[in-house]
Amino acid sequence: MRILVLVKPVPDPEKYNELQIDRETKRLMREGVPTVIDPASKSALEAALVLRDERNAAGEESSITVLSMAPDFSRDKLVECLAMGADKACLLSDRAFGGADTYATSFVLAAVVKKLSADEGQDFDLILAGNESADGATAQVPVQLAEWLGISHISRVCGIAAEGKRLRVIKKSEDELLTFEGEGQIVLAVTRDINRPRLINAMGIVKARKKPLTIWTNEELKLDEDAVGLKGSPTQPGRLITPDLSRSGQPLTAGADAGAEDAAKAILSLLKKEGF
Amino acid sequence: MKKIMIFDQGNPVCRQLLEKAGSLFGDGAEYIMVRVRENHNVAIEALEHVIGEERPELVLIGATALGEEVAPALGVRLGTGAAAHCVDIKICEDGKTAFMVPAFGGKVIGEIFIPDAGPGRPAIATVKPGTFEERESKRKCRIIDIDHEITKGMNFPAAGRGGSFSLTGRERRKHSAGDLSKAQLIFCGGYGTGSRENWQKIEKLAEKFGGAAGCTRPVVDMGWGPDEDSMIGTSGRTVKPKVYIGFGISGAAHHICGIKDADIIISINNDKNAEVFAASDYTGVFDAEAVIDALLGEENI
Amino acid sequence: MNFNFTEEQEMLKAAFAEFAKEEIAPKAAEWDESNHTPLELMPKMGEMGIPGVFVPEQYGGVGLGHIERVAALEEIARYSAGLAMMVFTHQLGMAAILDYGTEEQKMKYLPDMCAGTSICGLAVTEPGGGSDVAGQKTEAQLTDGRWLINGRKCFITNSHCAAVTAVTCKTGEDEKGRSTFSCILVEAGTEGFRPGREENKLGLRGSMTGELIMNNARVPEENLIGEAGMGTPIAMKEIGEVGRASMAAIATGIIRGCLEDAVKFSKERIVYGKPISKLQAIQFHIAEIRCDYEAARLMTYRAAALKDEGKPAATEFSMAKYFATEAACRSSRKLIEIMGGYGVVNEYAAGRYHRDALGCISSGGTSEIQKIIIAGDTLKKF
Repeated sequence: MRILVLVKPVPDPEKYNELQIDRETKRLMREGVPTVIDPASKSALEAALVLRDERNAAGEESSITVLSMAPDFSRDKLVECLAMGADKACLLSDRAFGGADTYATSFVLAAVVKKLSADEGQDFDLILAGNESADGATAQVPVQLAEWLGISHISRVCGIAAEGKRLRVIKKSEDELLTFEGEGQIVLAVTRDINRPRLINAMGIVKARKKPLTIWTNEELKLDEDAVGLKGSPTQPGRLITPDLSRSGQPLTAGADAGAEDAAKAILSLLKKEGF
Repeated sequence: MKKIMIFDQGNPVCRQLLEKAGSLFGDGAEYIMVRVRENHNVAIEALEHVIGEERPELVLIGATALGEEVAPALGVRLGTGAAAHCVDIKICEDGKTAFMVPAFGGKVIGEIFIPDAGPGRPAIATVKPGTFEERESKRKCRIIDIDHEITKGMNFPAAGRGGSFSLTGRERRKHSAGDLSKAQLIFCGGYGTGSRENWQKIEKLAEKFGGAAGCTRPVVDMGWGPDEDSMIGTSGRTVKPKVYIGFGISGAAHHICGIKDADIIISINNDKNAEVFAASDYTGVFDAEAVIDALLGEENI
Repeated sequence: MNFNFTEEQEMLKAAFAEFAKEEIAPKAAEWDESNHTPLELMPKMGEMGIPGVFVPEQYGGVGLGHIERVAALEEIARYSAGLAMMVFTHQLGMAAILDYGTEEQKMKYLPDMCAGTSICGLAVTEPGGGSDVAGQKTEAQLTDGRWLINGRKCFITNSHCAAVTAVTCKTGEDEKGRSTFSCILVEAGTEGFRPGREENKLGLRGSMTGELIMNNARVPEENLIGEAGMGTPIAMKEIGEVGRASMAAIATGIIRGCLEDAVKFSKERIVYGKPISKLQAIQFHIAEIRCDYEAARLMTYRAAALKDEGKPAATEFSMAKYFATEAACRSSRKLIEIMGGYGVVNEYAAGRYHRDALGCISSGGTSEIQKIIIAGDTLKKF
């Protein structure tokens, strides 16, 4: 089984409270916020690692390629994916791809998937991605990539099982678990509750040294510059605002010696007042 | 916008969208409700077909598990832009339609424009259920019932373009707590509640007072019991209760954005500098567990 | 001159830090309070590659060096100096086997030790003293292909949990009539060999420290590490380099804990309407802790880098050990001062840091012992 995993480097989700918009430029200030692998991407990679090892154990030669479109300083995030256990990595980095919306992003990713398949003379059986990233959280790129490639897609996937060539996929909707079964190329977008990604270990980091990491620009892809990046995006960004969500923050209890029971009493009387 | 199409997935979000669209574009616009309750493969094919025939300028879709899979697919098929998870839609002074989308867990809201949208190449927007008000609507709309067409023999391929994956099973899910998005009273536990036992106490509180139990991301990640369904925030449920009571919640942006429409926010956290306090109406610097226990044993106080 | 970690080392540090945050930070206070040695964590640590990070791959290790080993200890000690103490002692015994053991000994013991499923120790100190190596009384006699060992070791880390302990024993005399010692591996369960009392320590709790009693303990002749009579140089080299490097790294981890907690607390603690981090008196403390942290790191990693280059580093490790452990005592005391009343409340880690820092002083030789070593080298060189 040949598996491709889409990986997105994002500003550390733990630090989103610290993000500010520059008053002058109206742009988001990301300085001091470290870049991490998006948690949902990590779950996608973990799901891929489990599947690969299962298939390998069943005697079916399997491999994982991770693919990322990101600024070139994100190279080390791909090395992290290799250290987690992926076999190959491909980083796509070109200023021309900057400012892309999900439409233009998935268009470029589709071109890379085609090129990777053509170069190796073999299609990917399965493409895995996080359902939605912590930063943009649109949940659109996996579906749109599948559409560009003309293959199936299933989002909000919380379970995957492989039996030979056949996949059994569980999608979680608002009130149902939907099971899909079939064969053939597919993009699966997984939610974070599908697994708990493993930690990177020292041996993995040492092994990552020897694994191939390709960096491609548009030189290799030769895509029309009007079809990529901001220019190729049907949605165009306008202003950014930071919503003011502040409230009065009145203390529940008066006096320094109030205890938990006084807080509970105050809550009870509020609940009573609101009719509960 | 003169022609607006809404995807009716069989849940109330389509009424919310119709109401919102009506308030923006008024009686001069035509509203079409397309009813498809099939799986995403069928829904995408059907909507692509109907959009080709009806040529709307705007397609509004509820950001459900189904809608989120349909909207971006239509974007690629129709060569148009899709704005995801709009928290508002506005008409600017120059007449352009601005889709307000959240990023970074709702810490930032950005305007999105789809300048090349037009008949047959509609702007597409998804909106989470509960974002817009739902009122008894008198707005007139035309209904296209694809489900009915299908039963009459209209044929859409059951699978996507390339693969052959079909729906082989569906099972109703058990919800551990009351339905969060409709709940009028929510008890929410954060990382500061500290244990699986305390999550169970939060559920007991919800049961006792007739509310629903919710949690934040760390509680799901720590494996204290609830899954992502009970998670409140921009990547989970958006809630609008009359009263929200949070225990041991630090106040990450994506959680605060998920509770911003609560009438009253009460927060209990023993860290007096917790960011949640700035977004709360009532604050209590107490040990979360102690207050939970006091509420559970209220007869004694 | 390059003071930067490589990209790979940065990644390792991040991986160790994530492990420490997830597996150690939430439980460190509990281990300290209940004096629990988290042996259950060792296999997970083995999966992370921590115990055998410096051991070549053919023996189940990762094949890296002492910079990486020290980096792991700093990350562990950031949250639990006690656990770091246990890990490093394990590595100390492993280092003796790796550096002086036979191929058979390495193949027999190291893979399980790298995996964290078997714990190692090194026992030198006796009731008569630790640094007075020549005064050791434990004796081993070779008869019929077996060592017959008698004696008592004390203040031995991993005393009650080690599967294998390298024990230094008097095995003969040189031509001038001075005792010579040998290093012999004794497995747990050997007849006549048992742990004695377990100490209740001030700090570094979460590591076991206690006695080992050998009463006609018999072990096979091939359990000798290196040559007979080489016990003292083996023990001195491993304690002097691996041991002191570890104590320096553990102290550095403690200082980092002090620094991070000082910054967090002083930014959050509001007095007279503003955070105390705005007060210069507090800032001075923070600046001093920061300098101690940076200096301790530089000395520790530089000494480890020398060792990885194969250069002699005993004096450098002594200086790092002396400086870092004293600095950890100073820094943890400053943290307590910054925190005022909260500093002495056991809900906060400040008191534990201070007890752990004090616990680091005696391990691997007190500050005075280090100063004697440093002075000896200095008087030769300058």
